[in-house]
Amino acid sequence: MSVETRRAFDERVERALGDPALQRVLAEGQDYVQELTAPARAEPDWPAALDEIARVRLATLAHLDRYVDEFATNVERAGGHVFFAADAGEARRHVAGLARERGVKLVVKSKSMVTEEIGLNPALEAEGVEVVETDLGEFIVQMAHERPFHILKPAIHMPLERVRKLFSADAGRDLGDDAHALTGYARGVLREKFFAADMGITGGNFGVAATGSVVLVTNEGNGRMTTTLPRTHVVVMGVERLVPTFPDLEAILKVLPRAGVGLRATAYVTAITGPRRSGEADGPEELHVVLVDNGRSRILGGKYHEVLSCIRCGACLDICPVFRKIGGHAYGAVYSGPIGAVLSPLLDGLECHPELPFASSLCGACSEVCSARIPLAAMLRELREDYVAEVEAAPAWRLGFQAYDAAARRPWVWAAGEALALPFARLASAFVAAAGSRLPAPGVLGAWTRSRDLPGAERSSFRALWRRWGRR
Amino acid sequence: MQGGGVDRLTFLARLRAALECAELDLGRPASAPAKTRRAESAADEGLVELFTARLRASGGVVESVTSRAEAWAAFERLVGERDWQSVACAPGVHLGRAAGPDGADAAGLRLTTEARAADFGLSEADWAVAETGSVVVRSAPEVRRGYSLVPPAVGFFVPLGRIRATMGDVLRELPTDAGSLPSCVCFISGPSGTSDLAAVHVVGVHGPGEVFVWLVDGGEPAG
Amino acid sequence: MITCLGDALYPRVGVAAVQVLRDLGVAVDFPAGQTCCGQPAYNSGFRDSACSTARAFLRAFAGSENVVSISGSCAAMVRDGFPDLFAGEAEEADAKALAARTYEFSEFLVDVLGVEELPVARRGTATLHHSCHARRLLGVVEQPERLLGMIAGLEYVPLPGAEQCCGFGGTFAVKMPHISTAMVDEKVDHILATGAELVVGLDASCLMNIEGRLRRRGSRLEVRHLAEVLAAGWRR
Repeated sequence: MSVETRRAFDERVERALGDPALQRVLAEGQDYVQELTAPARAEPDWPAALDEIARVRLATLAHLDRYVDEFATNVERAGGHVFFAADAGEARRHVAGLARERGVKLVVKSKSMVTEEIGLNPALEAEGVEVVETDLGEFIVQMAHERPFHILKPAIHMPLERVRKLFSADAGRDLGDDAHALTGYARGVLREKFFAADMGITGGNFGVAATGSVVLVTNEGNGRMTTTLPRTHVVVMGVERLVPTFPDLEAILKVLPRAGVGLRATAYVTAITGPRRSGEADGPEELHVVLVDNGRSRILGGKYHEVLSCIRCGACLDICPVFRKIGGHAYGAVYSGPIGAVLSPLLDGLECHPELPFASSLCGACSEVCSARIPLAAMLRELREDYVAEVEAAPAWRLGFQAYDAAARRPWVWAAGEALALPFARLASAFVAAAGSRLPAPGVLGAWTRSRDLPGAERSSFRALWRRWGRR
Repeated sequence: MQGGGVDRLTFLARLRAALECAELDLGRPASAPAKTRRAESAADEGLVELFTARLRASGGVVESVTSRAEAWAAFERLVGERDWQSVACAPGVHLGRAAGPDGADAAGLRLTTEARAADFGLSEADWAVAETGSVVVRSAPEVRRGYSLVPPAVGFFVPLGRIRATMGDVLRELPTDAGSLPSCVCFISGPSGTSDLAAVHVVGVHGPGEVFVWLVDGGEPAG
Repeated sequence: MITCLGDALYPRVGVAAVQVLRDLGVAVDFPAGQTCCGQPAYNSGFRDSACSTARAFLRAFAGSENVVSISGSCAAMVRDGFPDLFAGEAEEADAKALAARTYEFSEFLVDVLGVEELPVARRGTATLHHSCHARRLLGVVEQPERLLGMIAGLEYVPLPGAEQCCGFGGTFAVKMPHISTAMVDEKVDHILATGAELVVGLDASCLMNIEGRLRRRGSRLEVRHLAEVLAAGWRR
């Protein structure tokens, strides 16, 4: 990692660690979600449901080109248009172009991480289009000019008081600190926007190849408003988010709401197939689906292929002990948490996110909860190998491990090393115990002793003791 | 047509190339045929009870009635209690009523096809799902999405014969080609809600805050 | 398996483990060729070094009937990491064979020896930190709990947040010390909240991390590997 990226990363981490209110929200948030989702995880058919999701997703990815082709053909058959965006720039430009051609003044958006990924909002705003995020959480972070903090709960880090200030400033009067009243304010503001908007932009949770349907899984109703009221609906979705048929969604729809928010079903699961049909009295007149590659085809078929199975349930963020401490913004990427620590380097390049694979203790909790059985912890470890091989390995570490290996392969060298080092270790341990954090030590030693005492070493290593005993 | 994007063939070729040089075992073969599950009879008491319990747990109001007339009477009572002035629904829903759409009937109830100003939206459900307490509505000529979305309170008549055990059962009944699907099929599993604001659960965000369901025995709609 | 850490810094854990195993009638040997399983290099991305170190490890244990490790994460490295590390290599079969006969200490006592009672006594309250790799990669959860339950006079208090990582993670502890410290602080908070006098663990690395932070925070709470607790309280 370069000195600059590391320093920036450390700053973000320290900011999060040094914020007691954020620490409380993170811990309580995780505890709450784990409590909510525990009953579902304890059900006897839960593991089988996860296996089924993995099976469906892998089966789709194995023939993704065919399914994308089928999906696109069916979107068109239903009266929609499909645009194939190789990268973020193409996707942005296309959607901005759609808006420009139609003289769009106001866009309402329903939550979509892919639109964050491609940087859509600034591109639309550059066209003079007002873009309004309509998910309550996204609405809040948009007003605060911040990035979403969590893939499912974008504003979870914001205390009520801060939202009160934001909304009150927007309203020109104090709205009080009742969450219901504040939500009511947002509802009122956004209702006007829904009815006035020329274009609605959403993501797509899943596309159904056999029918060209786009499925949205939502709770607030803004997804439905966005896809019903404006005359043009644009879907921006990652090319990997397909399933072959409607029945293939069964396991996913059972697991996604329960793993993410502990609900048997979200308030709305909406399957959109084409724009409004002739004779239908509401719904958009036009439907455009933008399929985004942006690096996914590089991951497809490679070592990290399975990461494309992700159904964006958020479970890994909700269990990760690192996320619990540093929160979403510290990752410095669109996607955070364990999934983000794997996906962001793969999409953007390891050199853009060199710290992420190392910001993990590899505890394995993420792999354990993953709804699509993605071996996230193993992937993080593997990304470290890629980093060392392709980006840079600090010479000290590489040489250190080589020297360590040289000793490890020669037990007599190893034993001699121990005999030499142990007296120093005992001294150092006593010294650090006395001096505590007051003593700055260099390098990895300092990294430990800044906050922790050293273990007390003994006079002999185990092997030396064993040799002395002979055969007892 | 927008220019500037990579064309379809190139896009797909890139995906195909990635798969062809894959060194990994990419997983099991293509989608297994959908498991044929017997759609449970709606007369099965268990499904009605389960549906009722699940939707109530999500904050919906559920009442079982024995005929369409009783359903309509229950609905009118509710309208009276709440002093609603205007109800949005498709013409077919109130066939047999004294007045047609956009007219007030003898009870003073104004029926309309415009959802925006209505106090309540009434729809026929095409299916219901017991496991999740969901109703399923399809858009159609004259069946606006708005009836189940725009007013602050919405309700559904659900014939018992349309109740299924799981979402999967409904998914298996959906048409399998794009041409036969309506533009919108929506599973509605309770009032809209969010916990995005300081983790406080608020009901009634953008979608309706109240959901009413009348389970109608032998109540297939006329027409 | 004494492990590199156990050999250098926690020989008393090895001594205790040998004592307990012998008291249970197991013939214990210590192949002196063993040094390190290669986990630090493997988890840091240095696959070649890891492979080289692990090869020597394979050779050291080639003649061992069963391998019992005083570290959950090292046992997990053999069972879970070696198959990946040696995939497609000449040693693949040997690695898998070694994995099939390698156990974590508490797992060996409960699942292989079938221990149901122990002549061990120790008065007081104790809490247990299950290590992540033992829990998630080996499925070792209730074995140490059961063993603690067999100790006469010992009151076991479950640790809140037991499933949360203590923040060691090998080189993570020194590469990301800010995050690691925040994690171990929460672990220490949970431990102190139990009111227990003793915290027991299955992994010297986790215990080193926890004890290091406990001492820095001024606590004198006793920190022991499970083997040490059993050996110390064994009624002979």
